[in-house]
Amino acid sequence: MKILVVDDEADVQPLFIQRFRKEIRDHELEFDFALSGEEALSYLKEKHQEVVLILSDINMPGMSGIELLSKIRHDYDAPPPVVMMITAYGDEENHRQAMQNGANDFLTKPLDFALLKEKLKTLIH
Amino acid sequence: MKIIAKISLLLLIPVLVHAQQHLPDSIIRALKSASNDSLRYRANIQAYLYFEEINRDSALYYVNQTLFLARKNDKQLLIARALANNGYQLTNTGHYPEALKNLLQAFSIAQNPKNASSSWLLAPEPTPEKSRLLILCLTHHMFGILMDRTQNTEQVLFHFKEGKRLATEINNPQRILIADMNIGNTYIDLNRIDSALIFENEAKDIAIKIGQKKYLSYILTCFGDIALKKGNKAKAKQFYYEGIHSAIEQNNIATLMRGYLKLTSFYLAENEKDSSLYFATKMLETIKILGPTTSQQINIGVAYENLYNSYKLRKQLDSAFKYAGLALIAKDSIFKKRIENLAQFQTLSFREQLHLQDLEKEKVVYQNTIRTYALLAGLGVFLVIALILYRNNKQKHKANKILENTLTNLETTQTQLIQSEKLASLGELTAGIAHEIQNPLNFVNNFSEVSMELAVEIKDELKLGNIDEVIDIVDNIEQNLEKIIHHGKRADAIVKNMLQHSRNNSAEKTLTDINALADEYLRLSYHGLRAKDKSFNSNMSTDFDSSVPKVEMIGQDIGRVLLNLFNNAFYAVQQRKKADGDSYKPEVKVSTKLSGKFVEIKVTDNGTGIPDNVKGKILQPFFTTKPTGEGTGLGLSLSYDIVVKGHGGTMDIKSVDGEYTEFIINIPV
Repeated sequence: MKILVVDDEADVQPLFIQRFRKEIRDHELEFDFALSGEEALSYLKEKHQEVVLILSDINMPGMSGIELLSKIRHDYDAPPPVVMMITAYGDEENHRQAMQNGANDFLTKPLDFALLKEKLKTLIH
Repeated sequence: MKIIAKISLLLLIPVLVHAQQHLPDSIIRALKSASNDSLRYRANIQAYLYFEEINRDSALYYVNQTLFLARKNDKQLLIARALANNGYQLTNTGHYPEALKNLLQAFSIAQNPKNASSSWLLAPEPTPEKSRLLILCLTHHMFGILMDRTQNTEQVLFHFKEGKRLATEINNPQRILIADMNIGNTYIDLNRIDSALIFENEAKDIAIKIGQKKYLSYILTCFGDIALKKGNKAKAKQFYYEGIHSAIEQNNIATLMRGYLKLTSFYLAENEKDSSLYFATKMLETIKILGPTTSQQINIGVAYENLYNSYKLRKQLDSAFKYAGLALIAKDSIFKKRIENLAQFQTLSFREQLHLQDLEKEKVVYQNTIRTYALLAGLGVFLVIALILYRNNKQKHKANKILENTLTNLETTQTQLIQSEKLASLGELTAGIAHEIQNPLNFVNNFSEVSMELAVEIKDELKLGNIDEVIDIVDNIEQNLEKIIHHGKRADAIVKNMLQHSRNNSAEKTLTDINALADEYLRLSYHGLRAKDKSFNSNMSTDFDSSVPKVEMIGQDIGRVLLNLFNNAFYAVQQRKKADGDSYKPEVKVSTKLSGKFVEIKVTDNGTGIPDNVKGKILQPFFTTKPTGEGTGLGLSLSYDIVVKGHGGTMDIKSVDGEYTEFIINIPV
């Protein structure tokens, strides 16, 4: 299963790779990364068929996670990818906006990777 | 010559008698036709002047008419004039106390300049003030005569001379001549013949020059007296005769009588029995025409006495005896009356003197009082001024104190405001800082956790003997620890920055990397705003010139400036986004450039721009376009101060309303 992680923090990439070291090694999960919403969209143009799940930060310079979400929901509906929003500001407004724009789930930083793994497991099966 | 004189005089007498009994027709007409008091007064004064030296009773009558009219119309100056004239007539008729009263009253009126205009007639003087001085002059003249008749010789000259002084002051030749004439006569009495001659000569010259001959006879008689005193009998007699001629010509009974008396005495001294009898008779006639005359030298008693002497000289003893008796009775009566009058006068004048002394005392007291009052008033004024000054001073002190307090308050308030501006920007920063710290902390935590997991894995792999795998994991751990250190330091730097930012005292200038500073604050600003408003978003771009050297500056101050500019820029794009919607792409740019001796920092946004009417105000303290409570209005003003005053730099603004805003800061290297 291919997962696209969108975050302007580059260090998110080694973190995910290490956290999901076993899953990657066992080819259960495959990760791709984008540093902005724009990058994510151009990636999706090519590989939207491969991507099953998109994990996106909300607070990013330029296109925000919510914008990215609404674009994804607008552009890619067959099949609609699963989109989980991640934010440092775990407030109601962000949550409401994320859900309104069709987010499948909402996670807050710091990411609880154990919880994320559980969610991914239910998603796979 | 004696005969010629006699004949000429005898011829003239009927004319004289005729003249003295009737007013001229013109005056009678004027008296009858006078339609108002002004005209009535005019006619009556003419009538008085006509009778002045002809008949005392008539003169008194008309002068009282003028007094009545003047009083009725409250013409003070004319009242004084009437009183002076009345005083003169009363003096001549021996009523010295009344004369004194009248003249003193005349003085008190004429001496007051306020009464100058209280008159109908300006003539003969052209101005009210001159008219007043004329009346004053007249009064002095009359008073001099009263003093003469009452033997107050020491005062006679004073008043005549005062009269002359005033007459000269108003340039009135008629009064000058009368003054000269009287002064001359007084000098005769004082046996100062040369002085007398000078004055009488001057009087005569003026009289002839101006054609005023009413008293020429008197002057001539004086010349006669002078000549007699000089022992020139012929010349004396000639002057006396000329005097009589002039008196008859001028219809002046008083001086005529005087002339007759002089000649009677002259002839009696010469034992000329016919002439002495003739002039003694004439004198008696004229004195009866003139009316009561009671001076010491000239009175009806003297007339009788002269007749007695004349008859005695002629050895006509019956007549002599008769006139001796008459003289005795008249003299006795006159003497008694005179003594009585003089006594009254003396009492009165004594009282007057006392009164004057009192007045003088009062005057002194009054002046002293006035002086005292003036002094007190002055002191009062001084005190008041002093008090006012003191009060002003005190108030000034108070005001100063208030101002000082206000200033101190203001300074405190300003400091507080600056502090609150710092805190406000700190508040704006807090969210950004939280975010900025949260992120590295997350990484620290996550990488630590992962590393622990990896450590467990190493143990497992070692048991399995997978050395390659262990090396791989150790590499990861090493990388993770680097990340942990990196993010730990990142958080550390942010906290230090925050502390620096909120610190009060101005820090030392240190070499600062402007590019790093700009980047850091751009992020802080962005995340701060994002934290506040979740819907907020904007593109950010940086264009840093790597050749920009480190610059001596107070980092946190310039940081605050940049934070302000970024906040404003983000605010502007946010506002425009709200207005323009999705089609609008918000963008905030920061660029640095080394240009000459300056580092240029440019902050550009494509937001709402600055309206032209606001451009001039944006650097003013407390000016803000933000809703109340959102901005202190101090941001740009403080920024300007920091850049320009604190760092000797410049701050320029370019903006097109609705398009963009660009702040350009230049800081000297």
